[in-house]
Amino acid sequence: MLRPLLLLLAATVLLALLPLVLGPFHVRVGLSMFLSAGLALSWYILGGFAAYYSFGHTVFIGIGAFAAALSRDLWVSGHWAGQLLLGVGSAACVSAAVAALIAWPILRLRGHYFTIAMLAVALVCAEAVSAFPVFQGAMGVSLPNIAPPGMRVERFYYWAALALLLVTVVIAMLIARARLGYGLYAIREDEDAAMMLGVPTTRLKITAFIISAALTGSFGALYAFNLGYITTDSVFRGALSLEMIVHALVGGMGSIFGPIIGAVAMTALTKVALADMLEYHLAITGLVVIVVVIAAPEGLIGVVGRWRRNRRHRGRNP
Amino acid sequence: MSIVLRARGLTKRYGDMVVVNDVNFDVPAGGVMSLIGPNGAGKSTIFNLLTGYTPLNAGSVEFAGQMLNGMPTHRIAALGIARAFQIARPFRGLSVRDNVRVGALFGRAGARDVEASIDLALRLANLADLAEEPASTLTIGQLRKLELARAVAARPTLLLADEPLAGLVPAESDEILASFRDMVNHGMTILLVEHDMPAVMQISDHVVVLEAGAFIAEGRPEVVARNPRVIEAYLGQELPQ
Repeated sequence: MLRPLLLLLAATVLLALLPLVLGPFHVRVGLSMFLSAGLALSWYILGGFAAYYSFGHTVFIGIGAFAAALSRDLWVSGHWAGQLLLGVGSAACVSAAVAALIAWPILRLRGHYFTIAMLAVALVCAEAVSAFPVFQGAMGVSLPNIAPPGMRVERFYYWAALALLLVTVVIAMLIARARLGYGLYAIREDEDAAMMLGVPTTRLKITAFIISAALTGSFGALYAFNLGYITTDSVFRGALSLEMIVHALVGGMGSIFGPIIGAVAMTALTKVALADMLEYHLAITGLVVIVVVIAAPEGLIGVVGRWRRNRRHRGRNP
Repeated sequence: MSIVLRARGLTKRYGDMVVVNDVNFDVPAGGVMSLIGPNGAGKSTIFNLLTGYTPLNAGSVEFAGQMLNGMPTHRIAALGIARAFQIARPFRGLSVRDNVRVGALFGRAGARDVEASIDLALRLANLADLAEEPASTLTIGQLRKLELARAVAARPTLLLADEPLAGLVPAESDEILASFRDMVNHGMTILLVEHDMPAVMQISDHVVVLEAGAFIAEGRPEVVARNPRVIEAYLGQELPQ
């Protein structure tokens, strides 16, 4: 545990220094990568560890975004660090509370039924946020810029997203090695056999779901801060749910670094390589997913693993 | 001799079909007890009833001073009843050791002594050499051992083994029977469902015989084997001369 933690810390320090040498465009690309990676990894806590694929996770981006925006009175004055923590914190709390509320009915469902139920939850919540005036979803809500005076906005959110991503990676690493993680693996592999071995399946799924929702909501808040103005349509978007799944799938579902690698690779592809052909990028995303699923079902991380195994093999029998 | 598990009036119906009909038995502590009977006698159903996997229609199960009726499967497992399936259900994506770790983490031992429980279970099931292999690469015989190791890692007081010898070659069967002896020496009680009669006669301290969901005989294996009702159940009626 110590070595990966030190590596992680070194990588974070390196990434934190990058904005000092990069231009604003590339800092924005980095910010976008961190947000995508954080969202994909938050989704992975239930989707990857337990193979419970939520197709409606954008609901927690939306709830987090609106929780941060609507709790503005709580944090609108004060130090930037307090503003950031209160905004992100209220997003995490409200997302976790909503997840806890819906967890009991929908996590007694298995596999595909859970997937479908989440799709419905996302639609219902988006409609509710649009329809009830108290949420101001149809009109939209604006968030003030909270970057400290003198600091460039994109740098501030770059560092904030990096910090939140670090927290998410550490939480995922802890779960991966804990009793919770092994229980979730057992659920992924064979839920009945897990039950027979004493794994309290429903309770563990609910725990993972709430953690996943809180983290997704936190990234939703950052996403909203960065946008500055949100409506139902901009944060409750099916495309965002899909992105989290695609990133995890492309990167590989075997390790917590899969979703991160997938998010970085896909963001680089769509935001940089295809920056001039925005109208094609969804089609090309689709194509990439098809190619990955056929050619490398274990994702990019699986390809690297296979290549390293082959090399070691060849080394042994020259 | 003390009793680990007391089953009274076990009854299970599916519609009009009575698959287990008012069966009573006690499992004595520390030894191997076998449930035998022809196909359809209700042996596997009884395992499902004891573990709470299927609910009882009538009757009661008492284990470690508690009534298990209506208790969820995972709580029964945590009380100390572990089950090894006939058709192995390994976690294919995990290593042998991590498979066994799940048993240890969620069993009676809880989060204490996890590594010690894993080592003991791997040793008792003769799997220590394969600990780091992915479960997906094991043979049928090795999977059967993994099934046992995973159950034993929970430090159960009672192990339910559902046809652990089915489909194995004699050398593998002998290895598993030797494992059972080791497990009993470590204080476990084993309740066995098995069709391999020579093995049942060799390993069991006590045998309960069922036919078509009903109790017909019990006792020491050599006594039960001479019981005319048991012979009739297995071989049919003797032809009149």
